[in-house]
Amino acid sequence: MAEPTESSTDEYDVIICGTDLIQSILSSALSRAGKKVLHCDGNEWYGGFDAVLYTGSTLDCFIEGCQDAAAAAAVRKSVSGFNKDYTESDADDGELELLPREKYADLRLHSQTFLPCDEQHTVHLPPAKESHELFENKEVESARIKEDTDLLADAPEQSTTTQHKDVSDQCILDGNFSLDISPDLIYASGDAVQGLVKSGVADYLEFKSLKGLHLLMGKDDTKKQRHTTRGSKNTESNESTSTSADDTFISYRVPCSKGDVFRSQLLSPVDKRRLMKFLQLISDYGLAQDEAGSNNDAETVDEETAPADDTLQTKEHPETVAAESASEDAMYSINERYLNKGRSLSRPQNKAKPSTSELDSLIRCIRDNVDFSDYLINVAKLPPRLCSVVIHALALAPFGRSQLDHAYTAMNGVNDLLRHVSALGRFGDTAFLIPMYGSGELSQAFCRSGAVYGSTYMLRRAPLSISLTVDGDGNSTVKSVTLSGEEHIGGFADVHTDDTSKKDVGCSHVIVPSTMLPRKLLACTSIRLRIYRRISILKGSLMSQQDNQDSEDTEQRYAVVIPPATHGLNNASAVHGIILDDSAFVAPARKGYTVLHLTTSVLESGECSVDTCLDILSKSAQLVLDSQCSNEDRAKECHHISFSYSIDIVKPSDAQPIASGLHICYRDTQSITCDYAFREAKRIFEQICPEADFLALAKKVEDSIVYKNNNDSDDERMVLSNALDMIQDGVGGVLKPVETVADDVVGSVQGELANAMLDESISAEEENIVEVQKTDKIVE
Amino acid sequence: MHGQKRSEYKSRLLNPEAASKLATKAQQWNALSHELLSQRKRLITPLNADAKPPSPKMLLTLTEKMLTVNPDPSHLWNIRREMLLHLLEKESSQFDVQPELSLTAHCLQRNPKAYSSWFHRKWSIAYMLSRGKTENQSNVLQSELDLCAQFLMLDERNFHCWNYRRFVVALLGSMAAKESAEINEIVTNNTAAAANLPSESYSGDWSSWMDLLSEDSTSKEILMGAQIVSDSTPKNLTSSLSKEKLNELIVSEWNFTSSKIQDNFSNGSAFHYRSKLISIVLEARLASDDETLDNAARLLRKQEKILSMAREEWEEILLNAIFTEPDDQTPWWYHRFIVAWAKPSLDLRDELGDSYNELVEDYESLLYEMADSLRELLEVEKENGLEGDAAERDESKGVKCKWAYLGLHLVLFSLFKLQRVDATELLCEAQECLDALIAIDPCRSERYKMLAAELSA
Repeated sequence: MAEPTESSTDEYDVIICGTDLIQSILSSALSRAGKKVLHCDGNEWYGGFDAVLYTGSTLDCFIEGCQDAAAAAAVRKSVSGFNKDYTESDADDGELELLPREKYADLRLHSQTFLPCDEQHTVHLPPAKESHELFENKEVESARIKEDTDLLADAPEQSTTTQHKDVSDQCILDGNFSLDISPDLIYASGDAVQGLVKSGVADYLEFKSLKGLHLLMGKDDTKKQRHTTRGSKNTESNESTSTSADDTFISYRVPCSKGDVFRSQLLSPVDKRRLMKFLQLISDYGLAQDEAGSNNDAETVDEETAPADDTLQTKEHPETVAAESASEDAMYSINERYLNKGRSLSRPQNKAKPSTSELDSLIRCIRDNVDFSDYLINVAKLPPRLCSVVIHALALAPFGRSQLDHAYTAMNGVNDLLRHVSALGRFGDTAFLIPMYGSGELSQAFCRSGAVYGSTYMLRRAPLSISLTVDGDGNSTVKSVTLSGEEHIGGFADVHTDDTSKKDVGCSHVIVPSTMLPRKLLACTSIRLRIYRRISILKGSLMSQQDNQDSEDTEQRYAVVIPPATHGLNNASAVHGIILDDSAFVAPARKGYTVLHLTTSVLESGECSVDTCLDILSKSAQLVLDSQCSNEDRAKECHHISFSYSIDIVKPSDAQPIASGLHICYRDTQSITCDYAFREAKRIFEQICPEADFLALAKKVEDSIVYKNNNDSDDERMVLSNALDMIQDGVGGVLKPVETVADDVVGSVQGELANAMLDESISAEEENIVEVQKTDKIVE
Repeated sequence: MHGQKRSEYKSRLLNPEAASKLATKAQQWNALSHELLSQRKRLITPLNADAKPPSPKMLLTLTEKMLTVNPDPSHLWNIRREMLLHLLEKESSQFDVQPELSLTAHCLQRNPKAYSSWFHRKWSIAYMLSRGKTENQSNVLQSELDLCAQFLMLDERNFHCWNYRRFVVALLGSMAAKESAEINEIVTNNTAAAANLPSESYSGDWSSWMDLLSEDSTSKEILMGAQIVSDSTPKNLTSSLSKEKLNELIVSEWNFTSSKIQDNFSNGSAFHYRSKLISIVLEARLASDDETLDNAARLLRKQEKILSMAREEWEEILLNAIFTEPDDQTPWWYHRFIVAWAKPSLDLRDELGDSYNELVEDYESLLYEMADSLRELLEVEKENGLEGDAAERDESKGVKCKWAYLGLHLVLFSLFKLQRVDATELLCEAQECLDALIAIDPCRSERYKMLAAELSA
């Protein structure tokens, strides 16, 4: 693989722009399928918007990059005319220009306290707003990026409250943090786990279980509900307590499994019954679907092959058909067969056959595209409060009833629920796994495995434009991608940057994220959503041990959901929080820091201003703190950063593709899991390689793994032989204790095996890595 | 082996490699088995006085190895015990419990539900205590509790392990009882039980311990059978538990069942253990009370405490459990126990006089609350999302909630038996429950008819 040069006639099968998770999965999958892949990213680091940034190194670059963006854009404008209107400038040779690096997804930094801002930058920054000053520390509201398109331009001028001398008063971070731009969890069973295991990429990563999923809700109406169910004799005494409706928020553990429902303080007994009935109905539906799927694969299109975004509905609903054709046997055999799969929702063995009529009505609603919340209220007869729990805490939908242009249908809701419910009881107490060292590790791991299979990686080389050829009928086809010369974004001055010339690299497919394309191209087929994120570094433990008997265990690995339209927040979408500490290796060990990620989103076309959203996030941070901490050992925020970026959501439409060979990948709506990336990657993979197996292992690697699994050390036989030998020798005396013998045998066998495996994989990797190194763009 | 089809299980024999491996193993096992039995025979009944008898130590090692591979055959454990006793008799050495504990621990890891391994462990512990090995007895027992906790973490419904846990706790309890008996001569009013102590107290027998602790006859009804029979008599006992330690132990056991039930309430063993513990916990909670109360006041206090504990059990555990999964029968069994346990005994009427009526009133209100909740449960269960026709609805509601009807019947019948209010309404509703049960559970219709006969009697 020679280094592509300007004059090179080198053709790649696929050029992938950006190393976000979707693209990284794709580069691994495509190179496995034998495609020649060039993967480029303008950043210094892997991961794009899924990257994990490190304080003191890449985070600083990120922040400086954002701060420089406005200035840089201006420079570019004069130099290369980049900021001209993004259109297909020249119809003849079909040049599709991509957004310059700092404009991808319209990333904006709103505030941060990691870097002291210097004079130069503050000049063109609007002053910080007082309302953001939340906690005791003096925030340095420094960088607020001013761009020509900046909404902030209209924001009223505020009095300057922050002074530069405060920089010295900040708490100094003692240690490095790994901060995800998009923190993601993964479902303990589902598309992501399937992909990670099948591809062998899981070997590069480590995971821990999420300890709890919590729902932050007002206290008032739960109490009322609980007491109405009490016996008539005690009503008088309880009334006094139920009247105190106040605004205090309580974080409840989200009741997902049978055990959760049983323990939950959130639900009255009657609600428990209703929720359990509903959850079992959903899992029945899932089972019936599985059953139908395995009976006749041909006519079933299950979730994996369905469009990645559930909003991409086809006219038919294959799943519905499948569920209806599910044999009654499936319903009969549910109890026995699935008992071993975790006892999260399965019925007791003695339970009679479940009724099929409720399942029928669910299937009918799915077929009729009923709105999910309508279904919950009118058909499943859940009380409103429970509906909110189901939609936001169980299905984890960020929006409630149809707040986007598209509806949240019963089918979307049930699929989301099924993903959650079917991942329960696999590992730990929740349905989620946390990638250690930050979820940005995922894209790095996939890039690494892509390199093993022969992909070429180029960092610091941003794709600038895509060239198209246009035939006589006006159909355009992808011809090549122009890459920028090597550049770097702050820091890392020691990196060699001798190759500064632009390059044109030929290819037959290009994969590009929607957010890299000029907005105009996608305006009619997608909805633009803006994701707001605030990352806070807290000193102290955030979540208290309310439902864990083991008081020693103070590890912080939680997720929090604040439903939309929460009183006092008026948030348009749910606020999702992920809370991690050094147990997930995102904070320095034993220093007592907790990292809180808060995310919310708004429609870009909507009314919500930037300030409103930032306000929602800072209030949410306050709420999360208040709901957990007693006053004495309260966690304190010492640093934060807030930024926002845009994503596109595909609207169902039958618009023509822009060019053949051009594949646009879309991020999911606001979500706390990254399972969508695997579905989206698979969708695009199947367009490029319709026949091939997604993320398949190479034969060589597969063989060595089968070898690993098959070799069961037969210690039983060894013990027996040992005993026989003993009799033959007539030695009645001292022998090695049995267990040690067995252990020794097992140990040595495993040791050998491990060595063999290690040799295998190293040699396989070395080959390819050496090759990649030649191209001088090496994966760290 | 559970949940595995025999055909699937057998299919591994189709693979010649696996089959030959298994065949080799079987051959080895048979050879060893034969060798072991013949050696044992020669040892027990020597035919030829000249020949050197086989060494019992050798036999012990053989059983150890064979049991490591397959812990189930009880004759191997029998031979092992025989050899252990043989050795002790001949060489009058100390009985070392540790090898037995580690062997059984290993075997139980392989098969946590092997009756014979658990039995051997009980035997070893009981034998150790009977030999009066002087040190660390309570430490050994304490570590046994930890072992149980570990096994129950792996499978919270392993009833073998729950049984074993009760055995260990009974032993610890006996120690405490023994000690306080030595000091005070009697722990409780039950002098007869205290007199029985020497022969009974180390058998790990729950009921003998219960005799010591309980004052009245009510607890007798809920006694369980002997855990293990041992003719061993305890000797020098040095380590023991104080009364406070005992209370601590009881409370921690009670909390242990609570946490296991919180993990998974479909756990008959945990509920059963709870029903065994509840009376002792009651005593422990009463123990802190003022000693100056006279007998009647103390009785009243106890009955009030019983009622409040019953209410707690109902509200904190049972109510949530039956609304979460009404088809799970374990909480319903515990519900039956609680209803019976909370009932103020008729014997108390004479001693307590007027306050007895107050007690019954309290009990009655608890029952009414239960009835209300159960009616509500049945109401929700009958709900159906369908707007479809009535026939369809009836069909789907048919099989549901058998246990709620049974529970409601029990509550109503208990109310009826209190004979305080006009019974016709209660009887009528109870009859309706039974009618519904006959319809939805025809297999047991004769039982429901018998219950109906009780109602009309």
